[in-house]
Amino acid sequence: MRVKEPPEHVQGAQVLEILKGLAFTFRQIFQKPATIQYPEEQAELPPSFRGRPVLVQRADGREKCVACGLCELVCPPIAIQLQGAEVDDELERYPITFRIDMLRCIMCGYCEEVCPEEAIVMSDEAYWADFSREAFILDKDKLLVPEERLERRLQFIRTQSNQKWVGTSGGDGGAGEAV
Amino acid sequence: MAQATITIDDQQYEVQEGANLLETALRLGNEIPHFCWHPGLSIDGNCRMCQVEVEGERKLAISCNTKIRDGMVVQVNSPTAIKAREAVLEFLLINHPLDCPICDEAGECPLQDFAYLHGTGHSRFDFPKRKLRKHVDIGPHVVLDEERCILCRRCVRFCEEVVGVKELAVFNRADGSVLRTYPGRRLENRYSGNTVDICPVGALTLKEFRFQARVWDMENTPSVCPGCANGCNIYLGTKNEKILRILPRVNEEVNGHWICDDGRLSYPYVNSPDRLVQPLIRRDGVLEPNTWGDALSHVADRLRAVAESEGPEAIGAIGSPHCTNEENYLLRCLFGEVIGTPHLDLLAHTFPGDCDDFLIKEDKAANTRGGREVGMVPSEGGLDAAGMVEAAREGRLKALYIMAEQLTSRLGEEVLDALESLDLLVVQELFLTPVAERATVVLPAASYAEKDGTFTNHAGIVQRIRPAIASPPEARPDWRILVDLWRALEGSSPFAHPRQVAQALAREIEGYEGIVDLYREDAPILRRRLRPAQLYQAQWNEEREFRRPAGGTPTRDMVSPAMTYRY
Repeated sequence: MRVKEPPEHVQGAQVLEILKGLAFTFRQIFQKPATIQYPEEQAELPPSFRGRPVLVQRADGREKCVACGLCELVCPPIAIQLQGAEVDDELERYPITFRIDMLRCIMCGYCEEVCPEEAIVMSDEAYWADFSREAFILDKDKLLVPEERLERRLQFIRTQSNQKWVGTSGGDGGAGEAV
Repeated sequence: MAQATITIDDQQYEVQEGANLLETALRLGNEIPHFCWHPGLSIDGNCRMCQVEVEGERKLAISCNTKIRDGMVVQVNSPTAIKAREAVLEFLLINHPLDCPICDEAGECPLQDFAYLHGTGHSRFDFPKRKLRKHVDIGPHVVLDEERCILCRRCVRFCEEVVGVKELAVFNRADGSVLRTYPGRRLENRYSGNTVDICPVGALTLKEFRFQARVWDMENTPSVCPGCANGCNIYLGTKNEKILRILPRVNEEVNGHWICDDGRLSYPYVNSPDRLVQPLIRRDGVLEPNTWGDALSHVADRLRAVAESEGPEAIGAIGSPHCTNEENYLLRCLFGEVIGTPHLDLLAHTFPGDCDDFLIKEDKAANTRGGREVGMVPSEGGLDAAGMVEAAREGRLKALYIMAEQLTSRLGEEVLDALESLDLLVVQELFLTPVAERATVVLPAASYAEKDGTFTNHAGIVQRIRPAIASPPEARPDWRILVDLWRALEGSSPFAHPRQVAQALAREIEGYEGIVDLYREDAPILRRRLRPAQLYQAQWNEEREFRRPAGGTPTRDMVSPAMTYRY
C-alpha cells in the first residue's frame, strides 16, 4: 500500500488526517487483545521451544541415559556433571549420579542434540523459583520425566531438528554426504 | 645399515634401507592408520588398514610388512589408497556394535578416530548385526566384549610373544571368528592389563577402571611406578584429585611399552580416606591433632634436648626406599651432618622369589638403590635399623626419626615394644600404622603421586616423578617436612625445593651428576599434562575447579596416552 503523502506546500488544519487517526484508534478498541492473562493463561508453546533439560524415564522407571558423558562434554557453561557405573542390564552402563546446575544452564539444547540415546530432552518448563542457590542443583530424582510426557519433543527432535541428520537414525543411515 | 632415499607423498626422506616402512613413516610424521601393527609385537598384517600405494607395484602394499628400498616412491594418500582405507573401515563397521556411548575406549579409540578421519561417514549396511557375548569375565582384571573385537590379534601376540603364555586365541574362521580364552584357561598372567592398552577397540577393558570416567576428563601425568625396583614409566590418569588409572609410558630401556598388573593396580591406597591429614602430637598418652608449626617446633625442641643431654649418638634416622633420592639425601644431611648421628639406615623391601625374567623385581620398592647411594647407610660405627631397634630397647637410643617405613613388616612385631622405650619417636607416614600409633609425633606425608623427585631403579637409571594430584589437606611431601624441620632446628635451611637438593646431590654423590638434567623443563618426557582433550570441569560444592575451552569436537592433535607411540 503506497502511503499518499500530502504535497509539500499543503498546510492548514489537516482535519481529515486527524479524523482518520481517531477512527483507527476507535477501531482498535474492538480488536481482540493479544495479551494473555499470565499465570492464569499460558502461551501455547511450539514444539521447538526449549525449556529445562530433563532425563527421559523408561516404563520400568530407569533412565534411558547410559552415562556416555557427551552432554557433560558439550555443555557450554559446564552445567552437567555425571558419574557412570555398571548395571546388570542390556545397556550395561547408567548414571549413578546426574546433576544439572540450573543456575549455569543456558537452555541451549546442545545436550539434547548430542545425546545418542534420546535420553535428555528440553522440556517445556521454563519458569521456576526457589529460596536458595542449592535448590537449583537438580539431581536425577528431579530430572526424571516419564517418556509419555515428552512425546511431542521426542517427535520434534526425530523429524524436524538437525536437518542434516534427519532420517539417519536406524535403518539405512540416510543419504548423507561423506563427512 | 645403509641409507636410502625414499619419497612419501611427494616428500623426500633419508631413511634406513630395510627398515619397516610403516614404523619409519609414522616416526617421520606421516599418519598411516593401522590396527594390528604394534611396535612392541610381531608383524601380523591381518587388518589391511595400513595399505599404501608403492609406485611400480600392481597392488597396494601393507606398509607394516614392507621393507624400505632405496628409491621407493610411496603414496599414502593416493585415491586408491584412500578408497582401500574406506573399504577396510566399511567392513569393520558392518558388524561392529554401536557401543560408543557405553564403551570405555571412546575418546582414545583408533577405530573411532580413523572412522572419523578416513571413513565414508555413512553406512550401507541394512541388516541386523551379529550377536556375540558381551561383558565376559575372562580374567581377574579384564572383561571381553566379543562383538567389538576387530580380530587384530594384538592381544594374542602379546600373550604369546611378550609374556610367553597361551591364554588367548581367535577361534573358528571367516565370519565365525571370535576371540576367546583357551578352553579351561583364563587371561590371568601378571601382565594381562597390557592387552587392554593395546586393544584398538573396547573389546578388552579393565575391570577396575570400567566406567569410572571418560578419558577426556582425565589428566595424565608422567611418573614412575613405585611398586618395585624396575621403575616402569607410567602415566597417572587423574580426575578431581583422585587417581583413576595407571597406564604404561614407553621407555625402551626400562619397561618397553608395558607394566605389570601389580603396578597398574597399585594406586587405591593413594585415594584412601584413611590417609593421615593432620600432624599428631602425643599428649597425656593420646595422639592429638596439631598444627605443623607446633608439631615441628616440638620435634626440634625434643631433638635438641636429646642431642644436648645424651649426644647425637642417641639419635637415629631410618629412611625409606619408597621415598625419593632427594628426600633420603635430605634426611641423611639433616641427621648425619647437622645433628651428627652415625645411625642412618634404609630397609630393602625384598620378597624373595617374587620376580620374573621380564619386569617384576623382588625388591618391591622403587628407590632402594637410590636411597642407599645418596647416603642412608650407617656411617663409621653407626647402627643399622635392627641395631637401632635393639639400642632403643636397651635404652642406648633415645630418639628415632622414621621416614615412611613400616618396620614391623621387615623386622617383625617385636619392634613395637622396643619403640615404646624411646623418649622421642617421630614418624612421617601416609597412614596410622602400628609404628605410628606408638609415636610421639606423627607427621602426615604425601605419596609418590603428590610430589616431585627422582627414583633410581635397580639398574641405576634415575627417573623423575611428578605430582599428579594434590595431597590431602595438611599432608606434605617428605622433602618439605624435612626442610621445615631443618628450619625449625637451625633457623634456616639451605634447600627449599627438590631441584636444589638434586643440585647438591649431583655435586656430592658419584654417578649422580646428570640428575640436574631431569629438572630441566624441556627434558624428554617432561610434559606435565598430556591429555586427549583439554577438558576442565566446573566447581561443585566439594569438587575442584578446572577450566576448559568451548565445545568438544575431537581434533587430530588429541593423542591418547594409551597408544603412547601414537596408535
